[in-house]
Amino acid sequence: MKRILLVEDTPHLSEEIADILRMEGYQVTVVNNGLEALALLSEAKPDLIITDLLMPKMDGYEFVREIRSMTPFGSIPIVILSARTSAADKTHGMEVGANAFIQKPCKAHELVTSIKSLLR
Amino acid sequence: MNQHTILVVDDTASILKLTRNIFEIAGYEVITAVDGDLALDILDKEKIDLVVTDILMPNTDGYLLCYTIRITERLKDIPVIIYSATYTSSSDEEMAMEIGADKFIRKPAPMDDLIAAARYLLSDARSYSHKVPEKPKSLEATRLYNEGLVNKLERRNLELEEAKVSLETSELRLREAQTIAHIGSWEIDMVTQAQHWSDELFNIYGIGKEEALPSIELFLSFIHPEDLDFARQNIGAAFETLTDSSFDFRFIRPDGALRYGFSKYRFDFDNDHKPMRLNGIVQDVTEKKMAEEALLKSEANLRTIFENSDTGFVLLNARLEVLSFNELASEWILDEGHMHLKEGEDFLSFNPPHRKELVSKMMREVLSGGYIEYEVNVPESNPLKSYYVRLRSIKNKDGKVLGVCINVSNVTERKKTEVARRTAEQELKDAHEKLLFHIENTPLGFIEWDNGLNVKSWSRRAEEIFGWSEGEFKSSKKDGYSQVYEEDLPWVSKVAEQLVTGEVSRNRILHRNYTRDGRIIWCEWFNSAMKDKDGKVITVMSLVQDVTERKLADEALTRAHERLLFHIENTTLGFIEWDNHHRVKSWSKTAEAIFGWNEKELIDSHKTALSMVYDEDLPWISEMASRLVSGESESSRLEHRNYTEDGRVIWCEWFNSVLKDKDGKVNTIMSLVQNITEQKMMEVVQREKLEKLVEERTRELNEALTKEKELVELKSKFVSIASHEFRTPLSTISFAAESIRNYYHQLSAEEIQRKLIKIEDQTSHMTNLLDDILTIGKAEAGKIKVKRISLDLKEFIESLIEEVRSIVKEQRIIQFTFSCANSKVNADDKLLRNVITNLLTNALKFSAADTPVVIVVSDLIGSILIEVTDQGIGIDENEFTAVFESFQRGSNVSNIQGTGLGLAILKKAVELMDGSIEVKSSLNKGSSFSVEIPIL
Repeated sequence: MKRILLVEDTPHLSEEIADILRMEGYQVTVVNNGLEALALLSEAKPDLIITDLLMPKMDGYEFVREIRSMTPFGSIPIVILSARTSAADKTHGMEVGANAFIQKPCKAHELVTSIKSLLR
Repeated sequence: MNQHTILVVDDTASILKLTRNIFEIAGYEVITAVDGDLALDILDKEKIDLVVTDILMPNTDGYLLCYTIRITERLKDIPVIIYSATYTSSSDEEMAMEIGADKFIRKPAPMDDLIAAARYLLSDARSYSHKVPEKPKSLEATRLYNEGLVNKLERRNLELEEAKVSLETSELRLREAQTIAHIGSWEIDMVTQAQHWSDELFNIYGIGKEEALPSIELFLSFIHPEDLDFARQNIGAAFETLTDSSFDFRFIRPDGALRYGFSKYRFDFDNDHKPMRLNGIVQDVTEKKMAEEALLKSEANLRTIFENSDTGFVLLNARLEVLSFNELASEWILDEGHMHLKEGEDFLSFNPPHRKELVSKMMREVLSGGYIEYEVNVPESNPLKSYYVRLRSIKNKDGKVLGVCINVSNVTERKKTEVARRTAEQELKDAHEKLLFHIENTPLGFIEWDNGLNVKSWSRRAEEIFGWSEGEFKSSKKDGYSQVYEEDLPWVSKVAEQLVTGEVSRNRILHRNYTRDGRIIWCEWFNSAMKDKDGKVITVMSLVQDVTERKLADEALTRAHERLLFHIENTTLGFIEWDNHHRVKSWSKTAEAIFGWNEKELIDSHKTALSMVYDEDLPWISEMASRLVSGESESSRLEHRNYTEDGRVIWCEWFNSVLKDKDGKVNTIMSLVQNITEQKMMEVVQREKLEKLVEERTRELNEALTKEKELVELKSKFVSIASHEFRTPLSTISFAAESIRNYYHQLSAEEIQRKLIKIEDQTSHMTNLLDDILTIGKAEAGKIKVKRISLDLKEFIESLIEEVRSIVKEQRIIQFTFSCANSKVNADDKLLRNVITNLLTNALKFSAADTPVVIVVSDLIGSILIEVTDQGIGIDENEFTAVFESFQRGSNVSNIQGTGLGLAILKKAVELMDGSIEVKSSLNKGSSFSVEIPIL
């Protein structure tokens, strides 16, 4: 069973995403922000990370950049799921090392498809 | 008890009394008698057991008494004791025994001997029987002798008594004398050293007789400390050399009074020339001393007066010998006779030979009661001196002439003054005559007034001026005031008064007068007051001139001049006249005010117009100036810069014109000048202002443009943020809806229910968001209009609190305090609702469920204050401003739902009501929002 770490500070949204992913057969761990995620990284050993961009304490870009600088998780697939929609945001996200950039709101299967392809 | 009676006989009262006492003490009864005759009488009548008798007594002496007792049958056994004086001889004792005396005792005998004798004789009395003695032959002779002796003794006693009385009297007198003379006496027994002071001596020293024992030390203790050494030496020397001496001294009484004393003493010697006694007196001479001193002082005073008098004195006795004289008198004699006056010598001898006879004659006259005074010049003295000499006799109270008193005064100065006065008088007379001459010949009218300003004299010229002749004016009884023009009268009379009272001695006045024919003329008066020797004004002399024509011409000229001056001085234009070398000829006050230099310094320094011209303007101004001087142009109007005295540069506008002499040559350039610096400056300022305005407008436009750009940016940003805010709830709704549809079978009914509720929640959140965004948009577009209605603030807030409570899910404590004086306010209910609801929901949202929220509403002057306080998470101090911006939320809100628009809307609402909002907060402790809204 593949493990997914979901970094999202909006509880009602993270609940729904987690529900869908679990029903798709993933093991999901939800954290509120980048810092929490980094702290939990070694224990949770995720196969993939989904992260929001606008979060308190550490935003998504910084979080992705941080992960990419860490040896054991340097190549872990990361999906940015954000309400930010500009092309600049998207470019920036890919530059810091995200593997996919999905806009909120999106269809569940769009997210699931993206995850599946990254985990293949 | 042996009650025997003893008869004691003695002619000496004291012995009688003593003897009687002795026997009475021994228990005997005693009868006394003063002589033998009386004793016999007593023996005759009384029963006597023992007789004690003296020998020497008048009439019947002791022997005869004893013999008579023995030969008298009835008495013969009475024992007899002869108690006689010590000077009795042993033959007396034999004689006593012979005539039958039982016992002979010499006086004075101890008391016990007498008593013992008496006891013995009285105890043996019965067994003892006396035989009748033979009358001794010597008895009569003895009696006669004794009687003689007694008589002699009595006489002696009498003499002694007299001497004693006399002594006492003399002692009393001495005491009195001492008291009166303030003389105290003292003596020292040189053998025993015993000292005695008289009463007066004690008095002199001011101490009581009982207070101290007389001694030399006591005497010295009174002496004034300054005199003490002298007194000690004097006394010491006296004792050493045993010579009599005396000295003066001062002493101080115990009461502190200083007194003067005189002491004198003398030694008494015995035959061997050994000192026996030292006698002395002390006299209190204080009063004498005082009187002496007063006299000396008064004499000295008199002498001083005498010596310092400005009158010389010589006193002569009747023999014309000089008794006394003073300095001034001595000087006079020295001047007249070249001799020094001497006391005691003949006064005539001091006079020069040629005067002796005259003086002698005068003296005789004076001595016979005459009085002479004369003045004498002493031509020999240099400078010449004059003396005034008076001679008069000195008489005693009976009118007897005792001598001559000569008074001399030096009158040299007075004489000189007199001569000078006479000369001055003559000069004055001459001057007066000269003056009269001038008066008669002057073109001025001459008038002489008395001190009431009545005419005393009135010259012909005066008549010509005023029309009245002297006689007419006098007879009309007019005074000086009556011809004064009435408008001038007040001040003229005041000035005239000063003259008449002597306050001023002369004046010169110009005023209008009436003439005889009623014309008014201008007269110039030269008045002077003449005073008598007491300083009283007796005459006022006036010289008068008719100056009417001159005055009128003057006035016209003055008026014209004044007008001109007025214009020149009051114009803002400076008025300057230059000569044809551009040097200053005249320079008005205004010119001075413009340039700073004054006329005098400019004329003195020959400063030229061109030297005042600003360097840059000088070339063309020189050109213009030379054209004026050459006559090429007659006037010019120039505007250029000039220097001022203090080095400033000013802008001036010049109007120049030339004056030419009769040959057509320019001799004066007249300039009117005006400082136009301010105008120039104003122009500059105006120009600068305009430039500034343009600049400002440009800047404003640029700013507006930037603002517009910013606004556009802000709007696009707003749209972007707003869309972002919508995307999150939309995502939730989308995922939840998709879950239900796609995984329907995998979900429990409960889960499905939860997701549906979530969809509803997010939908309503989005609705709220939309509402807020619309509100913000409306507010920013100025589309919200404030509509005030009257409402009850307390009720209004209470209803809002209830509404908030119903929205919030948990049970929360909201404490409401309302302390406004008046609950009725005019306010926009929608805006107010927005504000209060927002504040309350925020407070509840960001604080723990178990903490209270407090809302306090109070009134300030003209406004209400709403404070909402919670104990929640608080706001970072750095974010106090940011939280009021759209979509800005505190960094610590984390999971708490919000649009980020609440405070922005709240702030807009407060601003629309012209209010203000303030936040106080600290992290994790709580926040307090205060909103102040003015009420109408």
